[in-house]
Amino acid sequence: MLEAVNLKKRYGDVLALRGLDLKVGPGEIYCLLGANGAGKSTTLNIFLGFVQPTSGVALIDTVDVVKDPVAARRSVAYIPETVTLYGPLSGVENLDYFSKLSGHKHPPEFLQSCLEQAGLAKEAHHRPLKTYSKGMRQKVGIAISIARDAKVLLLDEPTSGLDPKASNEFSQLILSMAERGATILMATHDLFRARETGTRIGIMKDGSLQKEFDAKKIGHRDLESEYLTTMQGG
Amino acid sequence: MGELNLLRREQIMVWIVIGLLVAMLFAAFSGRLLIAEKRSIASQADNEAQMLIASLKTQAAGGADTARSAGAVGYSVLAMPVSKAATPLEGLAIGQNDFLPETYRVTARGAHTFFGQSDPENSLRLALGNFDVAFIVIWVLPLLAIGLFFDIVVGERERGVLALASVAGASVGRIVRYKWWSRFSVLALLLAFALFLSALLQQGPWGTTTTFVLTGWIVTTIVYLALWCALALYVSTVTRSSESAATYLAGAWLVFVVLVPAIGNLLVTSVVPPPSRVELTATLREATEQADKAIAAQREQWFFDHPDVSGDMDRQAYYASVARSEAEIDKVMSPLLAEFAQNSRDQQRIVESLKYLSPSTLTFRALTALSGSDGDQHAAFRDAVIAFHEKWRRFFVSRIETAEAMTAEDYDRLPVFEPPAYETRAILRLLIAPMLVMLGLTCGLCFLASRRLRNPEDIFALSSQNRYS
Repeated sequence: MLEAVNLKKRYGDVLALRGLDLKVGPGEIYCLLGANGAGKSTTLNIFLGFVQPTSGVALIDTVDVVKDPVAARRSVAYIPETVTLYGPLSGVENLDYFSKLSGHKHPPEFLQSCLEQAGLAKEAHHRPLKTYSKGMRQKVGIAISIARDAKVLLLDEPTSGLDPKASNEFSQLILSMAERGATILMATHDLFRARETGTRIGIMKDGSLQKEFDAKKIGHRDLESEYLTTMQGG
Repeated sequence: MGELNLLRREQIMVWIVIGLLVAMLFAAFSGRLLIAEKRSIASQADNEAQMLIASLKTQAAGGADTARSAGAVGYSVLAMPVSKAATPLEGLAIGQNDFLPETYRVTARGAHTFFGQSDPENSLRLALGNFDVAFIVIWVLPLLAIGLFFDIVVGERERGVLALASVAGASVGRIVRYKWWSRFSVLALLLAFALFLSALLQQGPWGTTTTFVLTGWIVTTIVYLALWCALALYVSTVTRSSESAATYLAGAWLVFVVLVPAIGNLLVTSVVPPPSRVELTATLREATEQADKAIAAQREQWFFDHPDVSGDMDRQAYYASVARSEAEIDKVMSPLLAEFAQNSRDQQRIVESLKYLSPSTLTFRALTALSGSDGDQHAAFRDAVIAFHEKWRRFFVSRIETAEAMTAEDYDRLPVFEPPAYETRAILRLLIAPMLVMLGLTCGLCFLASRRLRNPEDIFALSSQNRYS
């Protein structure tokens, strides 16, 4: 479970987060919408321990990310907007490299099964990553989280730049992970994908959560209208 | 093994290995040819002199006038070539050997007659230029370090590796340390191997001194490499993008490898300009004319007073007058030559004090000292030549003054040049301070970098996408 309590973050003169309160439970996919600079990535970065909050508390499975970042990250996986990794290495080798970095040595069969679960075709497993499309690279990112058996998934604009088919495949993967009980927080600009994939949607502006919706109870047009109204200051 | 596998797959590493080996071996071969040519010229000159001495000895035993005349032999016939002793692996760093003479032809005349002369032109130097292993180390090695290390932190952050790995439970510091050591070890081993091959390409027997010099070379270049790798690491932790890191490091290379040594040279020649060679030549001409006039007058007076003398007495009288003439010229020229020598020492002193401004000058100084081609060892050679010249001159002038004929045995008693020895302890003492300074800087930069790596926010907050969104 993810929880933010009155979370604030200041970068010099800029207040990037103004007291964010948020709760995401197991099996839930919470989509954070907002323009650039709204505070979406800062929220994710605080949960990831990359950025320290100025005040407030961020909890992952009741563990404070500031007080015990190592324990907090133990069940977390992260997929950034662009998963570049190492071009000369294959998908399996990249997965192996990251497993070793986190102190795990998995057999090749296990690594290949992770890639398969992430939706990467078998024929691509041993090809250099530089020959992969962006969607295929995102799948390697997912495979890294599967290999770690992550219970919490933090996604930073993961479908940005993907073609509709790849984006849809990615959404299906996320949904299947949520069905298996994963807690998912996803920052995105993609209103359509947020409504299709998410269980709840929050619209952020100027560092605070302005509006929150149940994804199943709001239509696409209404969501777009709410989003535009919020962005225009309504 | 993951990092090594990655390096093996990256094209850049393959090119670095091939490029460094080829360049080093070519430079080593070029250095070997240059030194071999120098040594061959010196050895040929020495052989010719020894053959001439043997011939003069035979002639003196047979009573030939020229061979028995100390004046004729000392002033005209015999010019003794003296050469700087060969040092182990000197072909790796040509250093000052490139423009300071390594062979002088000493006669009984004043020092000005041979200190003004240059080495016989080495045709290979004209063909190959100043391309030696020291050049590769000083100029090219930092570029290789920059190429391999500039994005070690910032590039990994841009690729998302640090974020993914950090979330996966690995500490950013541990990942970077692992990558840094893997890359540094590969480069250091490659460098040591290339230096070993370069040393094998050099001439001369392999003794303990050669091992000392090679070890010194390997240690010095690895410390120099470590400093550049540490600088690249630090810059990579404080910059926002790989492009900025590469730009800053290219700037550092330009400043430390090119500009600081160039400005240092400019400063040395501005603060301590060398005395004018034109003035030296003009003074020499004037002093020679004055001395010749005075001696000619004395000679005329002597013949006027001794109308009955001829033959040997003429020759003796002539060379006695030449000796007086040389002594007069020496009186005028000695201060000027001393001024040149002092100027050279002053320049060397300033170079010594400026060397700490750049790791490149520190390393170059250390490498040329190890290869016996630095300014200090040339100054010691010059001092030894001056001492030898004084003995040589006295040997002949004393015989001229006492009108003593040269005997065959005298040719066995000719003074022998003793070149200064290569002092490994002195070289070692000279290396300690520069090495400690460079190691200190390396540790300092690594410490600053690891302090930044300890706090993930320092690394991740640098990314502009993390800053305001």
